[in-house]
Amino acid sequence: MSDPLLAVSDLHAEVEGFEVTHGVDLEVRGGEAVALVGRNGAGKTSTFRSIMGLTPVTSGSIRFNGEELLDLRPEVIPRRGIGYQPENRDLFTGMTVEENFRLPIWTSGESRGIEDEDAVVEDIFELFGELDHRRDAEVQNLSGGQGKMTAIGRALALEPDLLILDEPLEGLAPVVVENLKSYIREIIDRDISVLIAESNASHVPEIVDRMYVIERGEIVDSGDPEVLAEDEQIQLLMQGGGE
Amino acid sequence: MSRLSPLEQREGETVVRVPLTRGLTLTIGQTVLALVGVLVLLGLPFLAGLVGLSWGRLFRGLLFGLAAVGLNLLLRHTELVSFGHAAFFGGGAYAVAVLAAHLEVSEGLLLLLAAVIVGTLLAAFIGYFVAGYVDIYFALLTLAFNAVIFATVFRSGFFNYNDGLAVRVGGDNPTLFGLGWTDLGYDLVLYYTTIVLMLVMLLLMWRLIHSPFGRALDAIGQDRTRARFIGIPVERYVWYSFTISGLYGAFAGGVYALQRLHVQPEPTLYVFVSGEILFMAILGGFTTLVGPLIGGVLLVYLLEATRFTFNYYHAPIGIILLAIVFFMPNGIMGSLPDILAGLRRRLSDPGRLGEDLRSIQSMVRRSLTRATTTVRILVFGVK
Repeated sequence: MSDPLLAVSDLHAEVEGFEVTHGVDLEVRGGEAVALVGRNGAGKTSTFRSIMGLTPVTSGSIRFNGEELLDLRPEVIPRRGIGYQPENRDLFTGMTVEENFRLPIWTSGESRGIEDEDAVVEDIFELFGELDHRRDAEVQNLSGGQGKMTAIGRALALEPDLLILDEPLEGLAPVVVENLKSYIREIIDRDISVLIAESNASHVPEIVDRMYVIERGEIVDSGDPEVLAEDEQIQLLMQGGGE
Repeated sequence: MSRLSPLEQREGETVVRVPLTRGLTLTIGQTVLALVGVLVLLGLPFLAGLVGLSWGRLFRGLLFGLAAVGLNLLLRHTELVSFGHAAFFGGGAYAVAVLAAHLEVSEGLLLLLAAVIVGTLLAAFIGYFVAGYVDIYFALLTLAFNAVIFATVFRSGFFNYNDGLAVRVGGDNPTLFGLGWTDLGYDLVLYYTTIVLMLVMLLLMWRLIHSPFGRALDAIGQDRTRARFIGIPVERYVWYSFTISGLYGAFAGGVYALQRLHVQPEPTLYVFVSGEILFMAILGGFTTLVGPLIGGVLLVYLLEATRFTFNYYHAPIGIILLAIVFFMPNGIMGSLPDILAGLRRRLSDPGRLGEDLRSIQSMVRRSLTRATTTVRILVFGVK
């Protein structure tokens, strides 16, 4: 079996002096789609922010393409090939949808070997067809679904090898959720590895190949998403019960 | 419209392409305002006297305003408040004075070049240490660096203590373009050279804030974490912007030294001067490019004109600042579009004036009720 694209091992991260992950281990292989499922506060966002260098890590290792990410400054990590869509949309207000896509390319495109900026941006608009007519809209005027798409599009702007999506389906209307799921599947079909956080396990089997369950900062189970999503114990855990 | 025409249609509106700034345009109204501005600047030495204003004060106002334009790159885009920009203004001014007084360099343009180099290097040095900080820590650090530089100059014999240094070689004004000039000729040549360079610097600043780098600074100002996870090297970009910002201050300080022909620490390096440069940006409108320039002219004129009229001349300035913050938070130029739109609406519908009057009455009534309630609670307690 090939080396994993991303390997997180024994990750201990801290937020304001409190340890929020207690030895998280997870892997994502090239071309694979993996979910990290857990209820709110379980440690999904902290794990993702640690990978992006945004949450302090006290011990452990995060290797991407064989390189230790803990040695890198946060702004270098996207240039290594990880795109990140945070839990809140976190878009740059006062700028248009297109400017939000172009901004990462303007500042880091060269280090990712991007020569044709327009081609990359048009590729993103082709993927998210419904954003095309909103390309000149300032992002604060977008709907919830369009905002999430813009955040994912911005994460794709540096042509990442791995896309990290933090609860992209959270708080969206059912129709929009189905649209977004199909967009994410299309991204996976483009051979981009995806690591996705979800608090609703039922969404996951349609999208990913493998799933981890996180609870109180520890990975408590992993395996086939179809099997785990049906597991009564996991379902109980997601609802706030179980051990 | 032909390729050579400066006019083009954009979103149903005729706009004017600005030469040398690819893709940037002005509306017709903005173009007229810009042209009027340039004409006023060019005619200032002759117009000022006609309306009883001092041209020298207006010139100094423009110089401090240009320093405020530089400061505004930080304030408006990276949302950092610097209380130390007098360091670069004074640094530029002292570079000129030291070279003239100690090394007898007499060519004004050479002195100005030295001012820009010294002030910019100083900004690069300080910027390197402060770029990683935000909010009050950034403000205090810039203030501290400024205070250290001021104290060093103020206490140093090399800089002639509080008396400062004269910018004269052998008692003569510096030369400009290699030529000696009469006093009036010197002032005029210095003024017009400055205006040309200042317009170029404004154009470059405009280009900069509309460039990808400017947008990246906006992103940093909104949220540094967010900027980092899309790959923006936050500290490096803040450092660059701090240095560029210092360059504007250094140039302005250099010209100030050439115009005053004498440099002292208090009017150029004191931390209060940093506060005044910041005030100029807010007064003129920090959401606009030329607002800080207008703010500079107004504040310097007010400060210099009231200095000999009032004992407590800083008090009216403070009141103006309070009024601006409460009633025109976007400053003069930033509030201009709203004021003009309001005036236009009232001209087309005079009935609105009655509504305005009624809303002012109700605002005053509400304020008085709140004030009397507060006094009642203070005197008699809650019950």
